[in-house]
Amino acid sequence: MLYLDNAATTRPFDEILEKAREMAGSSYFNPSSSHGGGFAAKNIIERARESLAADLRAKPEEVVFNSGATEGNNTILLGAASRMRPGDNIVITPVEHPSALSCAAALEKQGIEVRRCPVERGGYVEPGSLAGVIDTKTRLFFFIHVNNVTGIIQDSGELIRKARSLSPRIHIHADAVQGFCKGPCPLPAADTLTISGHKIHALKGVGALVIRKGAVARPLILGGGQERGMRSGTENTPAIFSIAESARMLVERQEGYYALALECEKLLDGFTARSASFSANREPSRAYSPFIYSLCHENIPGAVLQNALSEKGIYVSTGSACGDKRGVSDVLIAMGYGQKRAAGTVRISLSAYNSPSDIAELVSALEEADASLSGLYKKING
Amino acid sequence: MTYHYLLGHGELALKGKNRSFFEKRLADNINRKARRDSLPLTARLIYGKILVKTELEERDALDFLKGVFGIATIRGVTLFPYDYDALKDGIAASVKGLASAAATFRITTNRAFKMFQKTSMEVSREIGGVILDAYPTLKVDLFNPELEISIDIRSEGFFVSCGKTRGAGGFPEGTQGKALLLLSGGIDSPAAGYSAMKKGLSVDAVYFHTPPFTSGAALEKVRDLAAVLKRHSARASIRLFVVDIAGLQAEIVSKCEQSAATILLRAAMIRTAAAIAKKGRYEALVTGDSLGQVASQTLRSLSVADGFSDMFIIRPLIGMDKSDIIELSKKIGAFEISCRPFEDCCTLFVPKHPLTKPDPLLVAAEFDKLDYDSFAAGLDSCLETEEI
Repeated sequence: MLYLDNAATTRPFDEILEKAREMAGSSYFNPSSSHGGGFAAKNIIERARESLAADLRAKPEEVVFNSGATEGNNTILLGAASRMRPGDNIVITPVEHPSALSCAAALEKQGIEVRRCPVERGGYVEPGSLAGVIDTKTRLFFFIHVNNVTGIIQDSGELIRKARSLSPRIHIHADAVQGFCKGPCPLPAADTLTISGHKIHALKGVGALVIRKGAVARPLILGGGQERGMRSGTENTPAIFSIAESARMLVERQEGYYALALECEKLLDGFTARSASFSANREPSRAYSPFIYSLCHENIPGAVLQNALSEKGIYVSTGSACGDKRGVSDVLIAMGYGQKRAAGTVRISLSAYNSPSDIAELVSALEEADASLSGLYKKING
Repeated sequence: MTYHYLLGHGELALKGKNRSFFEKRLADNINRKARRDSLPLTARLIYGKILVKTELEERDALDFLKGVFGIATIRGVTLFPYDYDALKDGIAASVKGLASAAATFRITTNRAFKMFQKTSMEVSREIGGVILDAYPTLKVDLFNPELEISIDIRSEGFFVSCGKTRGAGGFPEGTQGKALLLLSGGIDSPAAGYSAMKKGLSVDAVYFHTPPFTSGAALEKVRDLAAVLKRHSARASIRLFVVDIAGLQAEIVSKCEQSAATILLRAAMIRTAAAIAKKGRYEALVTGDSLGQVASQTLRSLSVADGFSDMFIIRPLIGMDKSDIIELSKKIGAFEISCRPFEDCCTLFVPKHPLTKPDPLLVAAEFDKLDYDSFAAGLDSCLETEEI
């Protein structure tokens, strides 16, 4: 099996799995309990918070553990909406993850004004273009740092500067899921950030919402007041440990596996450049994460390529794992790639476990699929 | 606590000399299904009726019994031993809940056990008096009572019941033979399979898989739909034949007239299903066709495709509207599964202008371009059999 769907989820690190399993049995105490067991569990969580905060370049008290980025994005969007006054608006990009786009659609149904900022072909948000959508009534600007479908990286520094200049008291949120621990690219200096553990070799069901000092956020879940009231519910100690530990391991090894990802990217660049039928969904002047590579066949549907690769034990996805079960990603359409291109797209996404030899295997499988299926689809599409 | 139910079996009464065969099969099916689902419920035959004994609460027992084909009516009964005085003493208390909620009632007595010394009329009159004494506000209404108390007099004793619930109807599964359902991932075919089972057929299914054009998720979906059918069935498992027809589909696209692609694929499926059916001694094919629903379901298309096999083809949904089919699909618990957005083989190669009035000669000529015979000869290598 060759797993190349790491933007969907990653395989947990073995050493983390082992420790987390042990911890689930030995540190099962409720971290809020006032006895030795509770104190020990609390201690694990606080050490994880310090460690993760350092990797996020945040203060420990700015890190709120939750179930993942879907929850984090919901907390920010629904929370902002609850503080809005008549005439206020929210600005998001049209190329967000479904966890943000679904919230935006739900808010619009409630009569809240949600503006989509314009994007260039490929999904890049030109910072200057924010002037047309952000005004002093904009309460929240929400953007995805590294796009989960194509890997395009936004110029977050410029975006944030521009947004603040247009509305000094604006809240800026960045979905940092696909950028965190995936290369040296700095995290956006936004007011709030979301990350997910399972995208970085930790367990599923854990993530963090970073709320920078001074930023306002409202809890989505009320209860026992855990996470300083921002996220109630008994903490999942082993999972919280896992996200901090995997981040630490990745930051430590960053250079090594980032270099491998760059090599893989170079191989895919070479393949798409020389192939007559495959091409990359990438724009020449833009920056991309080497961990996500979206490519498209001129006539074979992406879903069929995905199936053909799956039969060979190579796992990739079409647009993304979330939200586009029909094999056509709305986000690719929003990026200006058109129905045909979107329908022919597969997404290759890498992790610390991949190496250039994986790409060689993938490329030969893609070439095989092209040889056996392309003629058929040429005839169908006439 | 033990509860009893008496089952009526509607259409079975029509079956003359075969009746006992049907009744026995129904009781067997109930017992088999209860065992399969680990439910404390058993059925046995008593004089043309089926008596169910169960530890299940009323709601669960009714849910289960309503799901067994061949049951027309279900009556909850209280059993009194063969002692008329005990009946008179106990009957008022046994109908207490219902009697205090109703304003009018009647007693209907059925004396199946003719050795009993009183006539039905006498029993009705005497027991009616007992009820009136116990519930003075109740009045007798023979024609339109709010509460009908039935007394069945049998050698085992007196069976007292109030009101009845409708069952699924139809015939006991398996009493009409066995058939092979062409199951896709859509809404119609599971509904057709259910309808066929309800009319007494024992149904297995065949699915045409077309990797890589369709995904493993599409096959998973079909397995889940087969599991829905199994849940309604009384059988321990349903057989699912999975045929990889991708090669033939690719051949259709590359060799044949595009507008005929859909009907050719349908023809190939029917011919292949018929071959599997014959080998497995199935007596008919079942499809989810509804007349006119799509281009391949025009009268002409259906009849042309039928020409590709000599198997009898049953189409239980033929006269139903889509909205009725969706309602049936929801009722049997298949709808949500059918709506999972995975393409099936029919949706992938849909020609832009499919034939709606295919010429049988043209279709036959196009079919001849395919090397169907070598596909058929190698069928075993692209056929997998699963027990769901």
